Amino acid sequence: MSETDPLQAWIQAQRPASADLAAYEQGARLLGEASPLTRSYCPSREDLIAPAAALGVTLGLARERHLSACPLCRSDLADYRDLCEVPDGAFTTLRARVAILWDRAGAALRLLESGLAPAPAPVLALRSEESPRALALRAALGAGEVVLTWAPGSEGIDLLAEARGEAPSAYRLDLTLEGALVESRSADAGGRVRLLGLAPGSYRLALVLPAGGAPALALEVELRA
Amino acid sequence: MTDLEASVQDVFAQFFQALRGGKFSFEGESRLQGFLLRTAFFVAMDRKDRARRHEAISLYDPDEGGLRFDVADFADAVYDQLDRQRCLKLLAGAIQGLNENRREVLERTLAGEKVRDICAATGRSASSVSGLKFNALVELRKILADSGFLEQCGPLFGLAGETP
Repeated sequence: MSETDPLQAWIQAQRPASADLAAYEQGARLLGEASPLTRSYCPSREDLIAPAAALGVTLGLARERHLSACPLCRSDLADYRDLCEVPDGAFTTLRARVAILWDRAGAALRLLESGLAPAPAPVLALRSEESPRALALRAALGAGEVVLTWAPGSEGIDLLAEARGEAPSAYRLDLTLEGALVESRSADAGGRVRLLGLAPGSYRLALVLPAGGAPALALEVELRA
Repeated sequence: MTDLEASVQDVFAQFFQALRGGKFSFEGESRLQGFLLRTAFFVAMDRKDRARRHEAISLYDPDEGGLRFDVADFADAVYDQLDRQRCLKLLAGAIQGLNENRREVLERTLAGEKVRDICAATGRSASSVSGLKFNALVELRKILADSGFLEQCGPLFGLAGETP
C-alpha cells in the first residue's frame, strides 16, 4: 500500500480556500512543465552529438551554453564519449557488442558487394527458445525457413539445421572453414542435418538443393565454445 | 533477454532498416562504425529515458549537498527556443523574488525532489515543507498573474485558456 503524500495530507488538514487551492494546482502544474527534467529545453540527441561544423555558429554556441548549465545533457554526452572513446566506460560491454556488429556488418556488406551472398535479409542469432545455452538463427529458404541452432556439446559445438514450413527438406549442407570444406552432409527425411563436435571458428554454411548450382542459402556463422 | 542484448538487437535492427530504406550506403568502414555508434547512442538514450520515467530522479547531488544546476543559468541556456527561453527566464526571476525558504523548496521541486526528499535534505518536518511548498506555489502563481506571465507564457506551460 502506498504511503500518503505528505503535501496532500497537509492540504486535507489545512483545508485552504478554494481560490488558493486552484492557484496552488496551477502553480504545481506550471512548475512540473518548467522542470529541466522534462528535457523540453534541451537539444535533440542528434544536435547534442553533431559536429560543431554541422550545427553552425549560432546553434554551436547555444549548445555550448546549454551544456554548461544542464547536467542531464552533460551526462548524456559523457555516455556518448564513453561509447566512442573510453574502453572501460559505462558502455564498455555495449561498445564491444557494437564492435562485433561492426565487423559482422562490414563482412556482410563486402559479401553483398562481391555478389557471393544473394541472401535474404540478414538476421541476428538469438537465444534459442528451447535452450538458454543455444543460439538460433532463422533464414528464409524457399517458401519456408531454415533454423540453425548451435550450442556447446560434450566434444565441441553441436549444430542442427532444420528446414521448416514449406522449405525444401532435401538439401545438402556444406560447411567451410577458412576456405576448406570440413563437412558435407545431406538432410534426413525430416529436413534435418546434425553436426556434432565442431571446433569454434567462423564458418561459411551453404545449403545446396538437389538440382545443384549456386547455394540456395549461404551464411557466415561464428561458432563459439 | 537482457537490456544489453535488447539494445544490441535494436541497433542491428535499425541498421538494417536504414540499409533497406536507402538511408545508409556503405562508403567505408569508418562511416559504418560512426553510424553504428550513433545508433547505439540513440538506442541507449531511449532506454535511459524509459528508465527515468519509472524512477524518481533528481538534479540534486546528495554528495555535494546542493543543486547540480542553477535555475536562472538554466533558463538563460534554453536551446534554440527563444519563446521558451524568455518565459523560463521570467519564471526563474519570479522564483528568485520569493523569500529564501520558499525559493529553496521550489528550486528543489524544479530539480525533481519530492516533499520527503526535501525534508531529508533540509531537516524540516513534512508539515513545514508542505506548508512552504503550498504557499510558495500560491505566491508564485499570484506574482506570475500580476506580471502578465500567464497570458504570455501560460500556453507553453500547459496553462492554455485558464483565467489568470
